[in-house]
Amino acid sequence: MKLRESVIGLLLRAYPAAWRREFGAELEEVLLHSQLGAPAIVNVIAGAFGERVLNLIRRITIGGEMADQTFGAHHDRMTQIISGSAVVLLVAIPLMAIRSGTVAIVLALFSAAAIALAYGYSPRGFEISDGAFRVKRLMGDVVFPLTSLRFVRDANPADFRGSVRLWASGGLFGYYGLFWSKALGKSKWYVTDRSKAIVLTNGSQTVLVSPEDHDGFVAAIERADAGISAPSAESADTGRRFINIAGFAIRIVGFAIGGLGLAIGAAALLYAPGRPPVDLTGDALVIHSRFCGMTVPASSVDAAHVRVVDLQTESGWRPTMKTYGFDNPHYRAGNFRTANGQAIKLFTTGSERLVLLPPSSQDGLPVLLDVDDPDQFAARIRQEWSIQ
Amino acid sequence: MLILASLAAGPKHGYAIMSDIEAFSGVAVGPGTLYTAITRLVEKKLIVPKETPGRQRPYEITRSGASLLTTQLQEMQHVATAGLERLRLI
Repeated sequence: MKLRESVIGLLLRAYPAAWRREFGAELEEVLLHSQLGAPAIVNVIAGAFGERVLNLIRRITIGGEMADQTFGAHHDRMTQIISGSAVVLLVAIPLMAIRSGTVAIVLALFSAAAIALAYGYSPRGFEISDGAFRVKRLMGDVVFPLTSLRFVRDANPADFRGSVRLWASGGLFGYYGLFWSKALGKSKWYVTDRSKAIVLTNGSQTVLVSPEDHDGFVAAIERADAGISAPSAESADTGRRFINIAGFAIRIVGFAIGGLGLAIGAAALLYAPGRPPVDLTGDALVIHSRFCGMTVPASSVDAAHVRVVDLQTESGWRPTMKTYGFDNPHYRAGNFRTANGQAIKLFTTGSERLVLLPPSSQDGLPVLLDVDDPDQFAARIRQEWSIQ
Repeated sequence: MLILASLAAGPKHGYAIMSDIEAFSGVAVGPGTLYTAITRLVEKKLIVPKETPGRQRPYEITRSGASLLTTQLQEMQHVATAGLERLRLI
């Protein structure tokens, strides 16, 4: 019997805490009176998984999940304008730099990280449950014990006047973080709509929040203040522990993805393998490159016209845009467009003098190749391949 | 719909709903499926829990739940009648 109860306890823990508070006891009773075989266990686990997925979707979309009381976080017009403009700008900057290859990648990573972090740490809603007040965020909730939280008053324009961001977002998905203003002093803001902002105090701290249902929220806080919704210490601890673990896990994954992105960006920026090794035979030229290495058959090259191109004097051959391959300040390999619009295959470390292998047919692409001694190499190709 | 049909006869708690559904429809509803459905029905206010002191709260169908059940059953009946007519069974 004890094993059965333990299994049921474990199964119930698979459900979100808020769901358990509402339906846990009933489901436990049903499971105690049902045949607890593998199908039932799988069925309950599937149900719990579904509830967790639904909770996650709700957290992402409306910032809420089933709770004693959940309040949305509506964005005011100014926040919408600032967020929209900032996102457009953060997307546009890498797009404008797309011709510069790696720089665009680094800018895109920076933009993606900025948007993700700003969105992840922005208030998505407010929740009162388990004797705690939570500011719902994708990257970990902020939890205040209700016992220490008091409603002070509605915020007014003077509270925001002359405010200074100490460590905060000033409009991108909300006004959140640590602020200072003359009226409030140092205070923590979790505000998305300044017209609905409420000043709370957490004993030593001043906290600003902006729940969508202003009156309902104030009533809930005041009820809690009067001790009407007495918290269960055990469930509050459990809920807080779960939220802390989930928030920590999300933060770790976020940092790991961000770190990996930055590492890839840095590696791409610093990659410098030097001139690509080449093997020249009577039949072909093999260009060894990690990116877009290729074999150039002798028959595909107009060998008689193989020559050295000096990009300083023949600037039309200067590569201006990568269409496929790799491009950083130290190494370029792949398909490029030149200043005069010609599509080419390019392998260079940035030298000004490159060997040009013109194609023997109109279908082929010219190859520009960086080698140690371009003059000698061009002469060698002309000699070896022209004989054929 | 099975839950709504079960509650149409009167309030029942979770285990009674499971047993009733199996009895009148032959469908064995798993406890996970049952409570997922109950959660959605409560959220949509098609059923409401009745406050009782015990651990098992009975659920009651609401007016909108009854209305939805009626509509769905009528649609099913319409489809069933059409199918049986085409099979020349009625």
